[in-house]
Amino acid sequence: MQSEPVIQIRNLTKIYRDFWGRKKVRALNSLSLDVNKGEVFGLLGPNGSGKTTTLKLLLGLLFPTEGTISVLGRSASDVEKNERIGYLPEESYLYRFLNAEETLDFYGRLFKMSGTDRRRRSQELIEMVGLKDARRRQLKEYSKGMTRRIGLAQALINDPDLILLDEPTSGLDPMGTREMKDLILRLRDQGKTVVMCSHQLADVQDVCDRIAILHAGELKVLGNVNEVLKEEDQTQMLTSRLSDEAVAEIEAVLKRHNASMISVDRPTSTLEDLFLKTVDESIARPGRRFVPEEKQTSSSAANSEKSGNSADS
Amino acid sequence: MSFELEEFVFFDAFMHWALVVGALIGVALLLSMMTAALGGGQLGFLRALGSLVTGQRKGGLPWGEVKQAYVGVFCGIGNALAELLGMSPRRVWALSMLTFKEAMRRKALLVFVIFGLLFMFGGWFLADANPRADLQVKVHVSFVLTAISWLILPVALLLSCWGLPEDIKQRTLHTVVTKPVRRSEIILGRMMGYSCIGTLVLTVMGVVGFFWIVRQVPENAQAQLVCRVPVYGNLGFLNREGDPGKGVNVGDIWDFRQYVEGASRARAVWEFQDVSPALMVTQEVEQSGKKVEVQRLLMETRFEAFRTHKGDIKSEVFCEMFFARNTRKQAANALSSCPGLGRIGEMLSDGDFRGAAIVLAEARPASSQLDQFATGCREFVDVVSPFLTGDSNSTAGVAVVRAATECADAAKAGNGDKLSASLKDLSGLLNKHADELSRRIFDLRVSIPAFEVREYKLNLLSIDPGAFEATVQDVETGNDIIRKVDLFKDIVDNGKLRIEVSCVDAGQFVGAARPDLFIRTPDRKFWVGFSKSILVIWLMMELVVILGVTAGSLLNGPVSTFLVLGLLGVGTWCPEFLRTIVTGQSRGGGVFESMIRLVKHMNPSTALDKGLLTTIVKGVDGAINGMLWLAAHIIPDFRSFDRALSFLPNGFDVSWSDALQPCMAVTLGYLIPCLLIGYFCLKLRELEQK
Repeated sequence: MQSEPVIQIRNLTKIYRDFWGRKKVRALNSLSLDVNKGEVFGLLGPNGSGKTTTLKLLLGLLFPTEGTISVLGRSASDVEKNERIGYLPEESYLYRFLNAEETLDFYGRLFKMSGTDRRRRSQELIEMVGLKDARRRQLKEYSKGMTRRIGLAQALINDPDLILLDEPTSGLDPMGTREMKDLILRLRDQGKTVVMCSHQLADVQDVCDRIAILHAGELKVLGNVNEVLKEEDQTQMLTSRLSDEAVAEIEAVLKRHNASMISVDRPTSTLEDLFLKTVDESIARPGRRFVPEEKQTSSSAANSEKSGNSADS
Repeated sequence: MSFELEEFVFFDAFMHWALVVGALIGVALLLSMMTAALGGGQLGFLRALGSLVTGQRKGGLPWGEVKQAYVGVFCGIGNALAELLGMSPRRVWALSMLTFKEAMRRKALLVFVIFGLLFMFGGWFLADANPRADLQVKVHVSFVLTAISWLILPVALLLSCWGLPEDIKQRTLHTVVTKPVRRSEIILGRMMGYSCIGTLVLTVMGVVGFFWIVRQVPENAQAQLVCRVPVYGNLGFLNREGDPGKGVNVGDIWDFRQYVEGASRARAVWEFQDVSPALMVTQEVEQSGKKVEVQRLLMETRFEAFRTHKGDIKSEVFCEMFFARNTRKQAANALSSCPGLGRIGEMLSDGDFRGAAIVLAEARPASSQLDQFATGCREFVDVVSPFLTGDSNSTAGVAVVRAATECADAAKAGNGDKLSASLKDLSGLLNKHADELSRRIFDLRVSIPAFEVREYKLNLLSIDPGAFEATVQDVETGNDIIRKVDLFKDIVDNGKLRIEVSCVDAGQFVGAARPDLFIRTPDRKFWVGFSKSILVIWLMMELVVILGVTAGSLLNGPVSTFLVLGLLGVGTWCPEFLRTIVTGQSRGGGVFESMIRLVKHMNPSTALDKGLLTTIVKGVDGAINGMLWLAAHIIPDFRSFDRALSFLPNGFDVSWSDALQPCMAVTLGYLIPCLLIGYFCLKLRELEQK
């Protein structure tokens, strides 16, 4: 059954231009993907691959050069959609002269929350991110990890349905990283949709249901984490209840090779391996792009000729 | 106070504002539609234009793209209006409070240190700076108002110009805009936040400043700490023959004052409206060794003298003031305005009712002149009725009024024959009752004793309205009798008071301008005027904040600061110069015409040769002047604030109509357009653009 898409991106292209309108860099090229409700979606890619640009386009901080974006059924430029979105930026761009309570109170006011709700929610979030003892200190006195924590708290102040996290574990200590990953999984369990950009591949592998790998503004890999990590050219078997004859036959074969059979399967590699392989291939064969089969549009269909069936490459 | 007061008419100001804003929106719409059509890499607008010009319509005009672009523009405008109307007060308040805290933590309140230093030591240099009490007050009040203005404006300018750009630079705004916050709420929230901090600073400074003045002004000048409330009249002049005209220019380049010649029939004539006993002030006078309170009409004068010979060096030039009710003259003017009755004016003015009767009898009004007769006769009735009917108990008077009313009615009905008959009746009555009429309808003039023109000093005339006497003819006997004249009952005509000022000394001149004579109504407390002056500074600060935040929504901090500073400078010192350029009043023509004159070394007063080139140049200059007109009107007129702030130091209450209203209009006039501009600047700006 097809899940309900929360984010729909079609042929999204973003070209940065200079003051005179001259093309400076193509940050995204015909990106098409969907993010479904209730999943944790990871956007991966090396620096400058267009991950953060994608997030900013989703938030309306940038305007697309071409293509369309739909977030929660609304246009990216529609501020009404922000009622149900929480965003943790790459750096926590918060007012450094406010303390944690004031910060959460301010952002709560922007959602027109009542005073009681703001206070209750602020206390909950401050306790959740572990800043109870520092709630009266101005943010300029916070360490980077603490700033990330309060940034996360402000992103969750409105109990959002869609949470966009840009490098959520950046600057966090191992315990903080673990807590962040647990929190992301808890949010998923609550039916929230989480989109995260990260360089921490192990973290992404731990929490993401689906991933997309971008390189040079183009989508290279898109799919379920378990599926994309499968090693197609290897076989691993795990079986039981074979007939005695069959077992004897297989064992005879294996015996000839001094081995015994445990299971039959395809082993998976690590996400790190996949990532590096994808980037290497992209550099070696530029222009190949992943095109989602079901969502193909006319323009992407034209491109699919040159990209071929890159999904399985 | 030596400045010309400009009457503020709200409707005219509003229409002017609507015209400028409408022109601005028109230009913006045109530009945005062109940009929209050019955008998207399709060059739709140019292609459409090219196809139209070349006539090559095959291949399909990209009207679809152009149309789509235009629809996009209008949808954008629709969305903008929806967003502006859907602003949330709670979010605006949250953003205001954030701005307030930000300003506080940026140590905006350090301005109090400078303020405190100024006030701690300012008194050393101001004490006994001038022997005149009013000037001592002026120095102190000017110092305080100037100090407050010059401290609050830079603070408002820097905070408002740097706030949003810093917010964008630090990317803290980016987190805000990912919440359901409209761009208009950000702009308005910023404006309100800076207003709050400015209001706080201004209130503290105002309270401190007020008590500083009250304590610092020397004892002998404390009585001058009041706000005079003047009622001004309209000024006209009679020339040396006594006919309406202009005063004499004694050689001043600045023609603020006109002069009346001494010992001639030249007069400076003020006409005051809505004069009533309510304008009188209560004074204590000594009568029979007792102090009693009496009601007096206070008039303040500040005339100037121009001497053509030295005269008595110990004595000032003298002038005389008359209070006049020219009933006979008004009646004469009313009738003489009818076609063919011009001669009647002089006759009636001289009391020759019989001569006037002959002219009336000979009148043959044409059918096209009936309207003028109707107006003239009606006016005549209005003027003479109070003296001929009612308490006067005059049979002749009632008959004259009835006959004149019939004339007016017949003329209005367009019945020429009946008008002729009524005019004959009126003529007969004037002839028959000429003596009684001349005794009942007369010009009444009373005067106060001649007084010195004490230049550069405050001259106060306390007038007892019931103390006048005039020689008039007894209605019954025709003998001259001396009659008591009450200023309000006998002189003031339906609230109008006419005052004539003449120069007594032959060969000398008295100069008068409109504010040189006014009725001084009961003074207001000093704190009232001071509060109003602080309100003017607050309005000025608001305008700076509005401009600063708007500039900051598009430009970075330093550029915004210079832009608003430039507007402040040009709006204070150059609006008149700009006006002469854009209205084409400057000599030498517009931009291109001036260039041609420069190249050809032509005199600015010499006309250009007629021809195609001149026509083109003048046409282009006209178009440029149109754009300059718009640009000139975008610049706020800061002179309104300067003018309003000059009332209190000169001892006047800050007038609502002449000072506060223009200031409020300027500030409010910029609020809505700036909010719109700021909204679009922020909305159309890619905050994360690299």
